[in-house]
Amino acid sequence: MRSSHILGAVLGLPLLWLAPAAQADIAVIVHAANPVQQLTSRQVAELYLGRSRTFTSGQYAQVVDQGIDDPVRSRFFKDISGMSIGQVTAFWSRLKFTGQVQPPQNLDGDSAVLEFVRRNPGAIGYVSATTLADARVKTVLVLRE
Amino acid sequence: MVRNRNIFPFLCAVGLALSAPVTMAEPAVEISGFFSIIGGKVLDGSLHGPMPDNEKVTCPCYIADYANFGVYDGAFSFAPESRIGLQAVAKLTDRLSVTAQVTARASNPQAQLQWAYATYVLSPEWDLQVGRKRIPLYFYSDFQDVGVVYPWVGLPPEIYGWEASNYNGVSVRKRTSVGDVYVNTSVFAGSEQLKDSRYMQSYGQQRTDIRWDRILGGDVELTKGALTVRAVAIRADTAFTDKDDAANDFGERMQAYGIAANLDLNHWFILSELASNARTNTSGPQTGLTITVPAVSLGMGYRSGAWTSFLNYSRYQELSSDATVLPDLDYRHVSLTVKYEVSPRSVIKAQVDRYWEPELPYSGAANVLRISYDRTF
Repeated sequence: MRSSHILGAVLGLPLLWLAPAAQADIAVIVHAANPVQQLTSRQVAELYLGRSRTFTSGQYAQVVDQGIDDPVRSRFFKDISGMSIGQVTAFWSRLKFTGQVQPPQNLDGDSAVLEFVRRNPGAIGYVSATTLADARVKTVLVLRE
Repeated sequence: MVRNRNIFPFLCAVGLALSAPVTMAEPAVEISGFFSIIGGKVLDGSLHGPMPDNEKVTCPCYIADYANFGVYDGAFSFAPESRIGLQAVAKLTDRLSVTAQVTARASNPQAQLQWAYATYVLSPEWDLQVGRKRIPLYFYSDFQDVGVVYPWVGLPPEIYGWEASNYNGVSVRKRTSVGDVYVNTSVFAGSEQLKDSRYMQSYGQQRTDIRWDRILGGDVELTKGALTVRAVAIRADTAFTDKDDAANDFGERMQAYGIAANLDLNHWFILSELASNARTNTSGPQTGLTITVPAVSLGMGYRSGAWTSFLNYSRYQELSSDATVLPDLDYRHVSLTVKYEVSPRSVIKAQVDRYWEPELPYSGAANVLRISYDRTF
């Protein structure tokens, strides 16, 4: 499929001019009182793909997601699971409509996610690292741009 | 089943209203759903089909959905497979929730309660569910209505053409990780009763009762990186009653097994499934007769950006222990699908199918064209 890569590169070249200069890191956050200090990408993926309900401490996790069409959501799932947002949607549709697990609640924007994590000791969310300056939440993983 | 209510238009309206992006804060009841608008026709062919002459269909024809009598013929139609489903989940406590899912079909616009069950989270890894659910028979069985999830316009009927798709009962599921392998396993038990099955109506028997009793099954799904493997085994005692002719009544002991292996290498992916079921007549005019039904589906796809192309081959056989009583059957089916992802929650697909039966008594072929728009909301 080399030809498709070349084609993609040629077609995508003009888009580079439109790309933002830099994207912010993504910070995965929990409540400040959560005993968990650090999580791996795989542990975060297990929570966000419904494969685990608890933190490593055994505490039940309240997982919150960004808005369904938020670009940061695409980056987040690509980073932790390698899946495109379309694949994530298909993955969750299967779990949701077969009653296995309900997907994380979607909240619109960093401030809503931050507020949720501040208020809920079992919460986990992710926000743009540039918006993060809050003693009431704790960063447990940073996904570099 | 909830019946005698034509709610297809109502559900479509609700579905469209809910398609608008909405974010609710900590909802007590979460409403979601899906729909598929599928149109198609038989382009040409000579296949009489495994179906007797039927006033509703002019053959050559193609049975896309056995359970709901979704049949295409030479006239373009949206009726055979279009459907909409609404799901409501009410979280009663941190551990207890109730879920209901209602579907309506263009071919059968009466509301069908596909799912209605309570879930109790026993522990972080164990769930108990009681109520009405889909039978998780083969890989796509329990989410066969959610077209966004799979690359076909419609699932290969060679594997997914069953008369019963639900059961009332209990299931226990465990989800855990062993090393870097994710393990998802369940056992389930229950029963099902179908009145005036559309599956049997496709064979000309209008007023029937089908019972699946003592359904008992289990499945295990293993995921490691790009590879997912699922195995399932199920058994049931089935009883068929023809209310118009008791001479057709019979009982069967059914056992089914399946294994699916899916490999997803980002651009390239492979979906494969091998299924086998055996039905032995335990009562009725053909007592002792065993029909063994091996079926296989093998597909390979390539996705690039929003586009996916997918080629699939499937085969269905019926091997009778006494061919003088019931002849063997052998159907084969090749499909080519192109999918475009309009958004993460909506896709457009176009699919051509070639379906053929090389042996008597139904020898012939049919070529089918279908297009679809699938969405979740």
